[in-house]
Amino acid sequence: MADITAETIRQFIASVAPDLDLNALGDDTSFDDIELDSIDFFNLLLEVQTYCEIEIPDNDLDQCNSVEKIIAYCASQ
Amino acid sequence: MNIHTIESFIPSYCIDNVARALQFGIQDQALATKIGPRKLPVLDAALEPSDMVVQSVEKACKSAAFDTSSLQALVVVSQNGDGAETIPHVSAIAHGKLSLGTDVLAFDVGLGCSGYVYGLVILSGLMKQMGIERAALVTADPYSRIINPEDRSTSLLFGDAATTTILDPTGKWQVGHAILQTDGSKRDHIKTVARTFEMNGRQVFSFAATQVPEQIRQLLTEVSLTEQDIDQYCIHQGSGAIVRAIAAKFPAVSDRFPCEMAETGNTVSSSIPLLLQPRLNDEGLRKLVLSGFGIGLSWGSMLIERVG
Repeated sequence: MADITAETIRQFIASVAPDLDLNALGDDTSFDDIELDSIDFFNLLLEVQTYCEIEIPDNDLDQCNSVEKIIAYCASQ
Repeated sequence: MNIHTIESFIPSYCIDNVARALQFGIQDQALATKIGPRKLPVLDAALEPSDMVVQSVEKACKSAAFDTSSLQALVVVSQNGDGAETIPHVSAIAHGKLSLGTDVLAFDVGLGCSGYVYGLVILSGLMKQMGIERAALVTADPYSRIINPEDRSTSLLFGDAATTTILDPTGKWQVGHAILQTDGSKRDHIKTVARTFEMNGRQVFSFAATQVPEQIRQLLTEVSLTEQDIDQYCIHQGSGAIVRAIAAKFPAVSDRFPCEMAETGNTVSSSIPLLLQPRLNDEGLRKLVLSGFGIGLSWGSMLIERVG
């Protein structure tokens, strides 16, 4: 499994939600607080799953709702 | 076997999906780019799925200048029977309403959004096996009957429509190689509970965005064609987001994935033939890939080629 970085996640976010202002996105900013809708979020998780070669179950989605949470979640897998 | 004619029946009454989206707090731009439909056709309460079949078959036969009595088989892709019943099957009811002869075989195919590709494989194989010269593949599934209007994840997506594809040896588009797959371990991601439709949007999105591009690539390998050899990829119009997500997996040809669901929504097994209908007479198109995906979960992709 590849280690994922904040920079990689930000690149994924820029790809799935190109209109989003990444400057407003801190590593601890909840995706609920920015204009990342559910489809963008699905797309982001798909990129993360493919990159890290993991499966993120529906029950774990709340553990993945910020950049730093995704890093921690992937590291724990 | 070849595709001769495609005609459709789209109900005239439509839900204003822009207004419905606003009720869920979804603005116009998000509706257009992420979801897709601005209008959702709804089958009149006085009509049944079999009536959609009858109307689209009669329209197709008239368009092709064929008498309905020349049909030797009627295959209907549908999961919603007339009324609240599933017995008898829709194709038998339509068979009776069309007054077809007893030598005209009729059966249903119980699939959703993958049903058109599966149906083409089933019917073209059956025609070859039985020496049938002319047959109708009908898609007719009024999901408005099973959608919960309060369900944000589905009520903005689905529209009602029916299509009829007439197959016979004189058609200009040859039904070609296909791949059909099913993953029953994921069957609960799209289902009905007490006749109400439920869908796990995230799982279905992930499935489609990964499995469908993989299957299309496998199909191209098996027919020794490249991405660039295909003029257009007519894939199931699940949502604007899913069409774009699949197209994005083919960056060199992503502009060859039409997304045309603004006026109809996701019409289940009818979405691919609705895309094909205006393209059949486009002389600039020679090779098309069709791909449907959904309930089962099941997915199927097929090459069709212009021969005339």
